[in-house]
Amino acid sequence: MSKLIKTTAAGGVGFLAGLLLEQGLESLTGLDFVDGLFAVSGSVLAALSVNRELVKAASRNIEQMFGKDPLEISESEWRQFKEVNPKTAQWLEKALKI
Amino acid sequence: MIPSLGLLTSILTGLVTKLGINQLEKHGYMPQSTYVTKALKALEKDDLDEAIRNYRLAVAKKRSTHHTELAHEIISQAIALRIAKLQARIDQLAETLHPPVLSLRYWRNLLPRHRSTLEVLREEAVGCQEAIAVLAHLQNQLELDN
Repeated sequence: MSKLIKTTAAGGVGFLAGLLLEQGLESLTGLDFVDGLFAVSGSVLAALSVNRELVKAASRNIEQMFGKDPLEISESEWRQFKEVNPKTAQWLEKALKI
Repeated sequence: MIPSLGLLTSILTGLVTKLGINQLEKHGYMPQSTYVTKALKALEKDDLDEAIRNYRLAVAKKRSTHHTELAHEIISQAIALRIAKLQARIDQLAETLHPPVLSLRYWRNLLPRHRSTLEVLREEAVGCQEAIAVLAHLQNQLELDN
């Protein structure tokens, strides 16, 4: 029972310390610390896969649109795709250095 | 055999952490890229509902970014492609179901032996129309969040 009390007390102290630290950092930097922390750790972990997923999804759309592999589409087909999906096309051009 | 208090505390901590993370995830507090990745993976599995749900979570608590804009365009295009395919099938079916009066097919369609085949095609056309309505609704939902 004493261990449970100790754990709860340690948790409470940790929570208060974290809260104070967060408030302190927020008032010093003007940033929402938790959001920032999530953004940094999340972007590091998820950004690794999100770009790959975006390329895969975009190429699937190209495949469905023209019925062929994205590598086999012609210049005019690419322009057609670009017209319908300007942001995706621009991003693909940048990402794949076309 | 009562499990030790330490073990129970660890289990409880693990459960609370898991529940906490689930709640954070459910309400859109996880990093935006997490939801974008999930949305694109759902799209790969042809699960448009899940893709849109995750996209909405991605923009629920945070501002739209380049990645979410791309995801929006990709999901929207995937829906548009499905609608176009269904519309093409409806047009193809309409050619069989409603041929010009001066064509041979028109008179052939009047024969009783073709009735059941035509009925099947008619049902397929109705099914396609319904699917288009559902997809259009999903697209509207997506546009509302943009």
